[in-house]
Amino acid sequence: MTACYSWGRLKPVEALLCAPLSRKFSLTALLKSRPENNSAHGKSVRYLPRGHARSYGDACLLEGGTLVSSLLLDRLIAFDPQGKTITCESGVLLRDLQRFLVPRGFMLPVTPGTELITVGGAIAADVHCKNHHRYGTFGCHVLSFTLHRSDGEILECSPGKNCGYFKATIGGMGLTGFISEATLSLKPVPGPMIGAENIAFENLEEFFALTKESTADFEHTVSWTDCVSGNGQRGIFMRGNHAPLPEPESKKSKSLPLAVPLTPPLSLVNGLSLRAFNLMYYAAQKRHRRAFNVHYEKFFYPLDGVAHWNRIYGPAGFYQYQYVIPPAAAREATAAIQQEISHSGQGSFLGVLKTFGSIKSPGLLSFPMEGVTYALDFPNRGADTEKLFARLDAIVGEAGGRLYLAKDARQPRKLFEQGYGSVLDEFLKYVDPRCSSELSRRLMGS
Amino acid sequence: MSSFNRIVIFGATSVIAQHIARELLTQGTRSFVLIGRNQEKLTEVKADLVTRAVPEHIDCECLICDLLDPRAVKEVTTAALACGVPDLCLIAQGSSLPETAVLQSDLKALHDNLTLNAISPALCAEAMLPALMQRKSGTLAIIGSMAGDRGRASNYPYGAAKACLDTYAQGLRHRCYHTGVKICLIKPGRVRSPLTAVLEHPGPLAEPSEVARTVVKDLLRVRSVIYVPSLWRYIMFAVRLMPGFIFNRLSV
Repeated sequence: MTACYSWGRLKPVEALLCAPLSRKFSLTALLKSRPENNSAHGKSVRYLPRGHARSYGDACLLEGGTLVSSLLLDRLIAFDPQGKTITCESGVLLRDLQRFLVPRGFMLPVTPGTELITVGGAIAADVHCKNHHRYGTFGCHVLSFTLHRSDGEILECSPGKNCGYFKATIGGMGLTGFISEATLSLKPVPGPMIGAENIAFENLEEFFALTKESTADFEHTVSWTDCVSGNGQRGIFMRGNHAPLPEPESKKSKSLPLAVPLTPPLSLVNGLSLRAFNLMYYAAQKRHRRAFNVHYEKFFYPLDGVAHWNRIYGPAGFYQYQYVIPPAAAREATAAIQQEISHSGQGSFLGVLKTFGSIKSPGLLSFPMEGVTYALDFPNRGADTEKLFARLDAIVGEAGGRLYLAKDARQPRKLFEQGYGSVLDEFLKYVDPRCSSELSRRLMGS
Repeated sequence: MSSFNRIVIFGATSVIAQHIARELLTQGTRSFVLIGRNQEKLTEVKADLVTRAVPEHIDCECLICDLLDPRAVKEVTTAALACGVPDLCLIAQGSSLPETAVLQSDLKALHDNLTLNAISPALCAEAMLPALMQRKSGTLAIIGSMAGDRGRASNYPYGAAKACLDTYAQGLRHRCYHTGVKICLIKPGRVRSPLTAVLEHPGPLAEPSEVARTVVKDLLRVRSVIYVPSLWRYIMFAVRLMPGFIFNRLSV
């Protein structure tokens, strides 16, 4: 048994780890092969697929279970430039896939704020991107995948085959089985650079105006908000398009020079440092209100440049709170939430604000829906943080919104059922009976 | 030399070998011979290399061989040389599994483990070397390990086999000194592998892709002994010199 964490580092679980060496493997045999599993006193062994463990909360944790890692399944299988598809094993990191694709004129249509997740993880969390209003979620571009079940069944899943499993697995947080390989469709890009603009805004009205103005002409839009000062509404609106420019010679991507080498004894994210950081960042951005060109890795995944950045929150770890609220209630609810956070003094570096478009994902438990989404980090301050979240939950619930399972560590079951209840019964039909996570135990009963 | 044109890899399904092959591909290698015992896994490695080469085409041949059998090793080497003598021969078979506790209690497992990790690489080196010496050029690289620098309670069977390869490579280097053939011994530390994949916090762990980058860079520079990460050369120097009455007290 090993202590295993998620990205938020809130609380470890003790679990067994195992890893298939080849995509043609037997999940049943692998689970049996751990001697600890054979002496489980007749209790049914519970397992959970595990990629790069970048879920913030408890979606990638299973106390006393077997975590089946995909990280050794990192091979490419086939690439079809004419058909614009790629087939690869589920443990390939999006970073490595894109480093292969971009020099050949392609990118994945949808990637989240980090490239350091696996293809399997991207499907399981049905990740979304700054371009959701144009391209939807990761699941919208998955053509097929192979799903291993604990009873030995190996299912080829696509919209036309085993469609129920296909829809349940996208966004299904790994609970339907182990994905060993997938075929994805690709987006042609003219090069590695993004033509970008940063525009400062003072309040939510300006944010919504900028969103309306930008959606038609810009593929990528997202905003960073200052959660601490004033009413917590000012920020920087970032927008960009792929640019037909070569990468400047001097700025070729090198290996990560920055890293947080150890966990500091307390959180470095406190009120003072936060305020100073926010003001500096905002002022610097304001001076550079102009168009500029930036490498896609810096535009999309700035934090990937700092290895182990999650350690700066100290040994207590941190929470991510991300919600989406439908358009009707979005403005009011977001203002109320920003007010709550600003007053609490428990803000975070990253307040990321964005609007989702109306493109629907095939995934049953997919998080994005049309409306406004806001993602925030909070250092774990125990009861104070939980009290704040309870107030935020109330606002989200009343506005008809829901929380992102890949980030969630603590939402009450009631809020989850409110947000996803309409698809839950259907989803539960496809869950592998021997598959569980701390998330599913908390929200779905097992 | 700017790159290796043709390479032969024994034990091509090992994690490090796969990543070294990928790195060599980016450096210009276009002809690969992959040798191993599992047809299916070799085909997966081949498909990965062929895909990564797109839009270019590469020659990639898979040869099946029981690398523990001297006769089979001789035959497969002849087959590998049929299309030409390679610029680089990488000997990569080996396994840090099963765990030491199993090896201590199961003598058959211990026998097989030592055969795979020490004897098999030696067979492959001897089988391949005459062709390189005859052509008076080429590099023979063997994957050892820092574990071979000092016997430790936690992994001494593995370490001993790798130490055998260390001395073997030294001898080959002496033998080949005037022939133009270079002998490299690669000593990685702990790399993400089937063993470490099951450890959540195995300590400082090198990514195989980073290991491969360092290895290929140093192979092209013709370094005799390649430590990855490079700084560990100095750490292991100190570890080797530590007197037994101090080292044996440590629980490392």
